[in-house]
Amino acid sequence: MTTRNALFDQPKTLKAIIILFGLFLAILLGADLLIHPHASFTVDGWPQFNPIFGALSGIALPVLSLGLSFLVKSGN
Amino acid sequence: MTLQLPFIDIPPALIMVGGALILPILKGRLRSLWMMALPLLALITVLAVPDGTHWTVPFLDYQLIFGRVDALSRIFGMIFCVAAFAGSIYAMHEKDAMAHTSAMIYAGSAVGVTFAGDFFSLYVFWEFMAVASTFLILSRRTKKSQKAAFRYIMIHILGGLSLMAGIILQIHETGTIAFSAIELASPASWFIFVGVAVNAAIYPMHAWLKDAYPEATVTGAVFLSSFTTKSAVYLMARTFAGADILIPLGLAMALIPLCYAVVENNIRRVLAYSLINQVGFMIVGIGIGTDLALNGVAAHAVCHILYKSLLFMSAGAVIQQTGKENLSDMGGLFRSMPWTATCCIVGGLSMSTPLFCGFVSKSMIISAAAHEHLTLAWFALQFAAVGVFAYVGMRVPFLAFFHKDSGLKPTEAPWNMRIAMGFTALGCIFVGTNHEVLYNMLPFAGDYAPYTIPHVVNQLQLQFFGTLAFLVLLAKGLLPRLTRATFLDTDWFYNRLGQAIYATADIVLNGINTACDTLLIKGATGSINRFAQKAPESIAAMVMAPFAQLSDKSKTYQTDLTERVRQAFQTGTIPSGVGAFIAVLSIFLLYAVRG
Repeated sequence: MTTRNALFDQPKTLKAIIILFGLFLAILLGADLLIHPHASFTVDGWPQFNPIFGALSGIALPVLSLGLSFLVKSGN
Repeated sequence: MTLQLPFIDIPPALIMVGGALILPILKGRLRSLWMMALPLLALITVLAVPDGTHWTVPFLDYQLIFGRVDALSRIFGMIFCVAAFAGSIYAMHEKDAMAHTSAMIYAGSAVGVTFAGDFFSLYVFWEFMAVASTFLILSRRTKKSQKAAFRYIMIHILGGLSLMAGIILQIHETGTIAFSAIELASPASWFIFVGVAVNAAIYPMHAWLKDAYPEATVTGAVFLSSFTTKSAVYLMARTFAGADILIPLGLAMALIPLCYAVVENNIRRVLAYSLINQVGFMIVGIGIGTDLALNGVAAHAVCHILYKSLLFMSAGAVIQQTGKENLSDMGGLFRSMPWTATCCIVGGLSMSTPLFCGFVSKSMIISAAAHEHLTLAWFALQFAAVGVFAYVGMRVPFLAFFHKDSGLKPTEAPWNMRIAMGFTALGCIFVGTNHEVLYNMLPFAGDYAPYTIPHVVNQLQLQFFGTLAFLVLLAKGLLPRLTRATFLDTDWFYNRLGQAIYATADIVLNGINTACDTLLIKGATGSINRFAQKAPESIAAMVMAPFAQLSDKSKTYQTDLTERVRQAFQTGTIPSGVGAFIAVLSIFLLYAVRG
């Protein structure tokens, strides 16, 4: 079959995507310093709350899933 | 919002269900065109008919209402028609008339549930949905799909029975078949609640969904993802808005299935778990019950139908073109299926990202939790939103289309599938960029503004730092390994319960059957038969015995006499003197007994 769309195969493209994603995250971190936080509770008004909460959620979920999978895995 | 359009003045559900009955006799493109026309005709009616009560039919002492039209029913009816239209395009290449017919009856019944203003028509459409959707699973015609369809229909029959019991009790209590908000207090309301909760996949009655949807046909799963749970969400919002119990139940739905989605390998089962997760958001919103929350529920139902059906379409296209269902068997498909890959990415981004539909709806429910100072619910929903975006919205397209090259070189999906995916993807982007169109259709007036700079930044921070964590863990090999393992869910309990009930019933009922057979059929009947054969001779011998003893003959003579009497009875050669004696004696005894 066709392999005409090999954009994401090229190391240069991948490198550019990683750099852009890093820059995007850096801008998001920087934006926290510039904008007034939209706080519903006290804690979510803390500096960098959302990036930290997002990253911790991203780590906690597979940990919880792993724990659950030990309990509920019934075999292949 | 009513549009000035000429429309067919019959219930939209009947347009679709009635029109579906013609589908089996149509062939080829005519059938496809008719299938696409039905939801469009129904959609025009949904948008054009004014608010109020329409299409009432007298039935016994009651009025059946096929058209309770207001903002809540209209928005659900509208998106059901749109989903049926997109699904019809997606299923155009399908040759199976049974799949087409059942899909349209299923979609039409969901529209019927939405506009039903009385319990009777609601129940009829509700059961139509259950039966028609079962055929979408059966249409795959595999042993696994047959078993899954059996479990699916069994659980829906149980839910339907609960709903019916509640409806009967409710009509008995209120004396009317019309329904609106119900307070969760009486047994009737609880029966109705459980019946609706089964279809909404409310935890712990959710396992049928992840069991059945992955076993449906490629096109059937797209229809299934749109109607059953969302019609139940509509009914919950209509009847049980503000019921506090829905908040913890919805949170359980949002969180627990998400953990399963992370370790699950089957692409459509991952999506099924994330579907439960998103319905959990809606259930929480119904439990909160404020105007903002209920607006959020209606908006999120629309957006969720759009992006979840898009994800199911993409997954279905991959399964059809590769024959693979597990994410671990996919990878690198962007080269050969770029259109499908792009649409899948749009579906993933639509979960929470600005400019896509989920962003303008999900945040309403989360904001409603904040407005009501439900701190725990707010944190849990934010956690679930981050998790589902990173581990379903980003992970599914990444593992299926990028990641490691699986070596698969399929062709791109058929043109009709690509059009359906493109149409739905455009819908996701349109709603995300023109949210006021959606907001104008919501049940309550409000001034919620999703595109404020702090809100956009906060959401981007949450979603993309969650995604960063996912990518880092994936790169470091720290994520749970995807295997072909089976993960037990709450269905393990009710499957075991069902087996235990069956085994108990087997032992008890078959035991009673065997005992009855032994005692009555073999024992009693045999005894009666023997008694009937031997009774006359035995009685005669018993009567003769004392007279023989009085005659002072030997013991041998007495025994011989008794035996002769027996033989005489058996051969029918009773001496006339003996017969007359017995007759006289019998008459004497009869008089003596009568006194």
